Amino acid sequence: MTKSKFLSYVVNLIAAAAVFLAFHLLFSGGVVSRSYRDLFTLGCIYSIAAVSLNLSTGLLGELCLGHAGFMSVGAYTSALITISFDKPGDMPILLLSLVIGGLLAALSGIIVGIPALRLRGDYLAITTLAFGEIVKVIVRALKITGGGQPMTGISLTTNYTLSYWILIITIIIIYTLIRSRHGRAILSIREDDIAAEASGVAVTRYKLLAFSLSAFFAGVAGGLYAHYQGVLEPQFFDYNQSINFMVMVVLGGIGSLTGSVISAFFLTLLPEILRGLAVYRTLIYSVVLVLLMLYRPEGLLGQKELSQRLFARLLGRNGLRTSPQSGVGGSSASPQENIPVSGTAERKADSAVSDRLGTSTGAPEEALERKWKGRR
Amino acid sequence: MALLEIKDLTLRFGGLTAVDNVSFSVEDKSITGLIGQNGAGKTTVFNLLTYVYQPNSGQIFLDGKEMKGKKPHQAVTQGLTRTFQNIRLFRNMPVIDNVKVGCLQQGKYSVASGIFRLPSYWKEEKETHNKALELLDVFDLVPYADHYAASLPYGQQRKLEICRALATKPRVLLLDEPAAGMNPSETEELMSTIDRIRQYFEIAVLLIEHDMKLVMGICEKIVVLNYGCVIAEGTPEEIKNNEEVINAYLGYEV
Repeated sequence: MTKSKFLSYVVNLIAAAAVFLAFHLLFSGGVVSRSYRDLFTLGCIYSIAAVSLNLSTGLLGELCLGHAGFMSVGAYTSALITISFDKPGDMPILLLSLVIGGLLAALSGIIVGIPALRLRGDYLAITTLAFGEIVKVIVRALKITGGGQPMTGISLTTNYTLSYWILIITIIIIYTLIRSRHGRAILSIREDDIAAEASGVAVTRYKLLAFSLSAFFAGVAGGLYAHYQGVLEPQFFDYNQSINFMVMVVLGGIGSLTGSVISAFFLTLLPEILRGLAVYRTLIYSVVLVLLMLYRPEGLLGQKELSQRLFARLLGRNGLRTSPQSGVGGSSASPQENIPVSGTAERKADSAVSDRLGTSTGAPEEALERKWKGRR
Repeated sequence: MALLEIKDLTLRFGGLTAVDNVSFSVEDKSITGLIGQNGAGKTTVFNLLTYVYQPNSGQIFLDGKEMKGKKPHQAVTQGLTRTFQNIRLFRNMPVIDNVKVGCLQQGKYSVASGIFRLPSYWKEEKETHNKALELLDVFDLVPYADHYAASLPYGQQRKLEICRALATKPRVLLLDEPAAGMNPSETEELMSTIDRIRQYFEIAVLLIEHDMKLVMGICEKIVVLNYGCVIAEGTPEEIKNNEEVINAYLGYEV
């Protein structure tokens, strides 16, 4: 780990903590009302769902319309666990139940994924849509989940601190995954699965990895939601909700994690902000969506991430590479600064590389030859 | 013994025999051309070699070992990597990441060490980065390392695709019409690219091509396919003067 990378981690953590502190002061100081505090919590929960959907849809490139189904699995599992412990408000038990709920959601993701991920595009979308409906029907049929009745008696343990930090952890995990060799494999499947397969990527395995991880976080979000709402109804997790998450992902920018967070908060807050307008509320909501898609079809952030680099670029500081998808932690392999493209400069860059490779500029070829005649 | 040996390979699509008892071999460290009319079954042979299709009968031997697999990525593991007739790059990924995807199978660190960025992650990522830069350097692509692959000109995209294939450390590189859609100067550049492959990597190359100047210029050996059958096999000189090949494919000079 280089020093600058370590520094950027610290900066990011401080930024995350600062944002939290700001909200914490607002809430505890009584500046904003309780209902906004709850909205913040809900925004965090929806963000977790949207960010995780972005992993399967924006980064893996598979259209998934059953995300609320995974959330439902996590929500009911987690609620049943905390109820069976019968210790309302106990944080460790909640955390445990969240993890188990997530794991179960991931498991259902694998079960659906093994057959479904062989399908492409629209077919996968329909299959996952069906999955969401199946979960709903199963929940209605089971006695333990209350049958057709809402499930009640879930302790209201979820608070904004917990939701916020789980959101941060979710973003970090997905972000670092995407910038590892496994993440590059996942992205390559989105770009061209045939070429990925031909380059040695075990496509099915990586699809399952991304899909189940996405389901895991959806399950965690579901668990948080259960302990936020206190009541669970099967129809809350229907395809409308799945599409809601999809809207968040598309609006925020497919492939941009921070974009998903921004749009999740935006879409959670928007109905509340417009509450005064009564019946025109849904109208304005739709108009806002249509306008955004018309004038910014790539989503709020496109594929970019809200990051130090983006800020630095906005402030007009030069010398930073516009490398694609450079984000919070900085890409693992430090991009070369300012590589000139023109003729003579090209050669300079070349020799810079040879220097870095520890080969003398005079005979880089020999060194290369030695290196690449290895396999046998 | 030849590095890659294909024995009596047959593939039928319903009533059509696309590849009919095809046998030929590719010597190590040599360039072999596979030519023939459109629809002769050249690309199908590639698809059989990389497990896109399973043959109805016949065997493939790499270095004396029979190749068996179900998925194209297994062919890469075994040492056969291909490029495509219509360039297939990871267009919205940086050039260098395209190459790094090719390095995937040589990677060792687990998903968890990737997520938590354990020391193995840092060490290997650095190695991969340097390795990718080296490869790009061979093909003069280093200045474009951080550009999107889609932004490269056509000829460079082809080079990047070859570069990505070489990153998988193949023993046989399969090039499917590398000169397709190229103008004469780009074709010239491609020939020098292939020369560099020969010079730096010491691997066998099997290439499908319609550009006779390129094929005759660089191949040590040429295999001619016609309606799924091998009709001739030999040096460029032999092929040029082979009556059957002239009739079926090359045509007479007017």
